[in-house]
Amino acid sequence: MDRKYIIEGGNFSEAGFASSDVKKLLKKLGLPTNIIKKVAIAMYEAEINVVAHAYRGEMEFKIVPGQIRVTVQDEGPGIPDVELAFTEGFSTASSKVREMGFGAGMGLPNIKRNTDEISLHTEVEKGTKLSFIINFT
Amino acid sequence: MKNTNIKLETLKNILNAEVLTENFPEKLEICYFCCTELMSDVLAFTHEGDSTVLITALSNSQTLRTAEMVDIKVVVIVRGKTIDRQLIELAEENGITLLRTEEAMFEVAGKLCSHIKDECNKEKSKNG
Ligand SMILES: Nc1ncnc2c1ncn2[C@@H]1O[C@H](COP(=O)(O)OP(=O)(O)OP(=O)(O)O)[C@@H](O)[C@H]1O
Ligand SMILES: [Mg+2]
Repeated sequence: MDRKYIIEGGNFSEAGFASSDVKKLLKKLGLPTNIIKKVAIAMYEAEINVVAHAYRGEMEFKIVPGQIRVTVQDEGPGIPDVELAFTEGFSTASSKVREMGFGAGMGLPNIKRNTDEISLHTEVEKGTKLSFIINFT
Repeated sequence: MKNTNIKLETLKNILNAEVLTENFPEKLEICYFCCTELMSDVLAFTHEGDSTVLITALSNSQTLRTAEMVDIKVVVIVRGKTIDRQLIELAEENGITLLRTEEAMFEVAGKLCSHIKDECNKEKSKNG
């Protein structure tokens, strides 16, 4: 089963739609609640990152037996230092993003905590592609 | 922070809060209180969403989205902000109870803390 969503950079009022839609789908499918929560948190953090830091993006969600796979690809400024970006507390968020309740530098570490596999490819001034996998039984 | 349980109805009365959504499960037991404007922290540190109340001054749609992701069922907006109809609808759609109080975060937290202390002391003198 697949789903695909467009994410608009800067649009905080729509942010979270994709994650919410997937969360409802997983509930309907009857997945364990702890798995649903991990997926929801990781997807939402990734979605907010596109809204907060990039211009536009696409999120793809897929369930295969035993695994949930998510890929978020954006056009944006990219990440110059990936290791630093994964450090808790590191953030370049604008004051507008902070006013919305984000920008604590917790998102990427939180995605890592909630997923079983994660990979990030980024090119400065082009964009970022984040993929993660959550296993379930 | 893990505290003693408190019923949603009691929480509403202590905070002189107004219920904005149709759903108001007055008997719901709340055990955890999360007071913050930082949605990133809510996402990183909420473990028992079902029994947590999110108390915040932030009244935008991301407050409710964040609550939804971590299964928080009760959100209190402090400082008497006017709240968009759209926000109330988003809460109802996701089975979240939305409350609003005129009081500021400091008073809200203080009142809840002293209520809980009183309850604990009553409990102690009953058992002691
Ligand atoms: N999609 C992205 N495009 C460009 N930069 C990004 C992207 N995602 C993350 N970053 C960079 O990595 C930093 C850390 O990201 P992280 O999600 O951990 O924190 P944050 O988004 O700043 O704050 P929080 O997630 O706590 O709201 C960001 O501040 C930003 O500089
Ligand atoms: Mg982030």
